[in-house]
Amino acid sequence: MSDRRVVFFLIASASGVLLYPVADSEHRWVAVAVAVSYFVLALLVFLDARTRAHTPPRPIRTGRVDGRE
Amino acid sequence: MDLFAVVVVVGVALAFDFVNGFHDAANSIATVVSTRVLSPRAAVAWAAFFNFAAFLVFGTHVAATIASGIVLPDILSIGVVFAGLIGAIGWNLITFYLGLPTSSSHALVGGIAGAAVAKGGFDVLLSDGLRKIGVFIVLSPLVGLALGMIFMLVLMWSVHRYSNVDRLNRVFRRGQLVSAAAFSLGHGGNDAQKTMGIILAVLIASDHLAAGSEVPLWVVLSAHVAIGLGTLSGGWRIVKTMGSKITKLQPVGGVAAESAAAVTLFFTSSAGIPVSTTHTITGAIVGVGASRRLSAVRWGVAGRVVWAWILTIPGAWAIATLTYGVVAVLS
Repeated sequence: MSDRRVVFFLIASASGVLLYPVADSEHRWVAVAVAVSYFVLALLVFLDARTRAHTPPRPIRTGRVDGRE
Repeated sequence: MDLFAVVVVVGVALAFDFVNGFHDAANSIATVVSTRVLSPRAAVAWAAFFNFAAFLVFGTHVAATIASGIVLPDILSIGVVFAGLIGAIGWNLITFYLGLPTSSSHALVGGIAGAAVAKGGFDVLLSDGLRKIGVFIVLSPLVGLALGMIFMLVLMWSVHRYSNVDRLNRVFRRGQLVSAAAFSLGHGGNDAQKTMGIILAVLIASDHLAAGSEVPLWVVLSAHVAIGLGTLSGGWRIVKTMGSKITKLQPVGGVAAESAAAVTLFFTSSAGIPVSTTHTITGAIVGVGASRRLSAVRWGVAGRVVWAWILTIPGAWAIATLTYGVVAVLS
């Protein structure tokens, strides 16, 4: 199952990278922080989605007719 | 006549601050109203008080950027400032009527730039200042979004073991009072300074103050009073869009969104960067929604908001250019 947040966060990360040369020297660290933070978020969401995709669903427990589990 | 013109323009600047307040009031109160932490009347009073109190917390770095960082200070005549303010106010009123949470700050930048270019051509624009503002047009909502998501994840992780949901909600509802106050402080601190910067530019242009002067205390106080009164007047058309249409917020989400936006505004105000409080809180609210899943964000609404943002600077620019044309003909 794919999570579209990965793409969204990678685009946001790329925005930070593209803004780095444009930003004034005093605030370039903000562009770097944005790029790194969104890359990390993309990675975490990707790994989370992979984990959920490979985790088998929990069995649904139903009561027996005689009342015993 | 010169003094009269200065008084008129200062009055228009404070009117812009007032319009800014009620146009942006929804930013401060939408989350606390949508989560029913405060009634609308109590929420606006709460936000207005902290808008005013912000003068005790922040300096005037943003004001300095506005006064001398967008266009050549020499071009800021009374006519240019007046036309720029009319451009910003006009755009604010149009988008207020349409219920779109656009940026009053960018409307002001677009208005001033448009009027200045109408007078002196594109050479009057200061690329360094505009570049800084332009970069943070993109960065401030991204920072708000990332912090909103991170704060939300941290809060959810820290309370996921608690089973008493009602008690948790009560705690976060009280927490929203603090986060809403912090956001209103940031809003007042960043936005009121823009008006201070404009008034400072007018006073310098009319030789009532020397170039490089500090912002007078009466200017600081009057700007904060104006924005506080504007907030108190409310902006219900925009509240609905901000509070519930972008994403559904619970008290914990409200705390995360407002805290994220407040942190962003505190940083940018301290750094002298005029940013859009609207963009910042919208980004934070989207971040809270996206912490669950992207489909939790109503992208159709967010899309309308983005279009309004894109059109703000050109829209205010156009109105200011037309206004300056009229001013130039009449003067």
